[in-house]
Amino acid sequence: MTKALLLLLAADFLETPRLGLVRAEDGSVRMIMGVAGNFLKGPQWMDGVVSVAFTGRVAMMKTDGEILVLNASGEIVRTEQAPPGPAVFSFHEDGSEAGVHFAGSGVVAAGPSSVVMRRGDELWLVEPGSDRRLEEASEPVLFLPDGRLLFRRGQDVVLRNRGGQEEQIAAPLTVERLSLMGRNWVHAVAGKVHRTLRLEGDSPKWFELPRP
Amino acid sequence: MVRTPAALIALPAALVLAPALAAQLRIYTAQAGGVEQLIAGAYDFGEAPAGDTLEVRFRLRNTGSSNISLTRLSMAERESAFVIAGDPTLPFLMTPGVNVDFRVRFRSDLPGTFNGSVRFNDQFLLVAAKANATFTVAESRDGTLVVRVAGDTIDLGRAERGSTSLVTLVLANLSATPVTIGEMLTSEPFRLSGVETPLHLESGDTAGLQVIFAPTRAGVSRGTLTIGGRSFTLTGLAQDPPFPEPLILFSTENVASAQQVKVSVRLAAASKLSGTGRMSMELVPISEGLNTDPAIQFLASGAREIALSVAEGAQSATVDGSAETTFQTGTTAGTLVFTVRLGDRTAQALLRVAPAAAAIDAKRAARASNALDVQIAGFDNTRTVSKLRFRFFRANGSAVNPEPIDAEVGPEFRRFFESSVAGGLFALRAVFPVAGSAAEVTGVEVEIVSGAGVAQTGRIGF
Repeated sequence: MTKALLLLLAADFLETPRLGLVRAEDGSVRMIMGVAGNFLKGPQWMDGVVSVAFTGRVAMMKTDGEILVLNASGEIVRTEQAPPGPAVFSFHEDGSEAGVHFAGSGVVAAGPSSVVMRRGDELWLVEPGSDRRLEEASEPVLFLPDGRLLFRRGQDVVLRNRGGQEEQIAAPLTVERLSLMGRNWVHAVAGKVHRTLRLEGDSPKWFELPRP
Repeated sequence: MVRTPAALIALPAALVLAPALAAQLRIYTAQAGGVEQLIAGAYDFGEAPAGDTLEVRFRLRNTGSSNISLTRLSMAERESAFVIAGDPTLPFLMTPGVNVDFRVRFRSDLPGTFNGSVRFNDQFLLVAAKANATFTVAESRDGTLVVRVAGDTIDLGRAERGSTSLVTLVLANLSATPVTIGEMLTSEPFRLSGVETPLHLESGDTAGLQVIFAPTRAGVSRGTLTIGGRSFTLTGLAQDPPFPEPLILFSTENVASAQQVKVSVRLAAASKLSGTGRMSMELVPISEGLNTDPAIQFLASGAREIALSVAEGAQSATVDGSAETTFQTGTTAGTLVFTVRLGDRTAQALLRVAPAAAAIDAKRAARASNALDVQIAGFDNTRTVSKLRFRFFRANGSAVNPEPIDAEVGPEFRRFFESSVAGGLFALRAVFPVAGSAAEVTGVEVEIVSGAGVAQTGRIGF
């Protein structure tokens, strides 16, 4: 039976909170520090990046010719050759890497066991044993590691859980790009404005980010 | 031009003219283009309207073979309508062949014939001129009349673009005979008002007119005013009109730390001009020594200053085309001072961010086989965290430890904040080795004690 607990504080038990990675239009990738409503641009991790995703546990980046896998400290743990163009990353629920889909595959978003594909003007959720058209869905589309799906519907963003229930999230601007910024944080770009959607707590909430 | 003195010049009996041709020091007119003409004793300036100026350039030359000391060069009369200008400092040594140039000006506000004598050493040059009866031009300025003569500059002062300034001129016939002014002309952005031509003035008559400066663009304007053949230079300085009074408005005045607030700049009236300005924000923290808080910034600029634009006719300023922009209140208690500068206009507004207990933004608890890991992210806007208190619970709700586990962390937090450049932000990680089975521990509650209060996480499940 547990009778006592001892507190062990490391010498560096305090640090500045880190929220996740965002990619700027120039291809640089930078850490965003802070808490909700109080964001700071942190150090630059990489440049020349065309696609990025960060789960809080692992970061995956695609440069023109390589896939890079980095740990949460920003250290490159693996690189692989890759064809030119953007990539779609997928992750397991624990935030570890699951796979990569390259341009030309038709995959616009990917989870560990399902993908969203473009078929003509329509987006289809392809899961083992079933294909389902996403009604009135348009890109960008993003799978979260826990299997939830984000996509645009008109001006708004829709959060669809694994059971197919949808939550419409009013977006302040028409979102043009979505990426996994960090644990429970999604990076959204609308024109020159960079926003983040926090998916933790009672309801999703938008914040504006400093322009990276 | 040398004129015969017969018509105008009556030789003063007291003066003895030196025989010019025989003298070693000779006098010439030195006209534009280098033309010289020897003068023999007298020079007629001719005629000019009373009040105008006639000027002639003269030249003395030592035509002899020995040095001459020029010891005197002046008008012989104490009161004269003629004055000498540009003369050298005397005595002046004139070696053979050397020239000395000077100018003689004539001006009389009254009509009539005038004589004078230019004395150089022991020689004299008689000069004569006639001021014709004409009208006098005077500028009314601050209740007094200032006579203006041809060539004078009349300053219309400053006027806002789109508005006007004016100067009143008085035309007076001070002569004994009638005068008719045939035309009065000027050009944009100047115009005349209050007078029609031809203007007939009997002796003693006066007439007023206004010269109006109506600029359509900012900058210095110059023009010419011609009245009856006499020309005056007009000048005026046009300025852009001021921006309307700016007013700083917030989406909420009741702010706290770690908020994103929208701010806009309203104008008291539609702007009469387009232009740019700046809005800045500064933090006055509740106490000195608090570290910098760079998160206090306008998000569109990533700085504490942002550019404003104002379009002509607009009633608000814009940032990147938007009527409002977002800023962050940061994680430091104090007062945010906003300043807007639009041209000469300045407006300020204050927002108070009150001291508060530490805020918890994210919390996470993880369990390993023999340890518990508690992570909390938040901020302390007073930088006074002194204690952490942990309570662990079993699934049945009973406490694992009879007493909470306290950690006096004031020095550690103080050192962290002193070295941090991120305001009051912190993320803490506490690890608890477990004596027994960690699986029995299902939850933890954490209190963060600071000088401004106690923050509680509530139950965090493992």
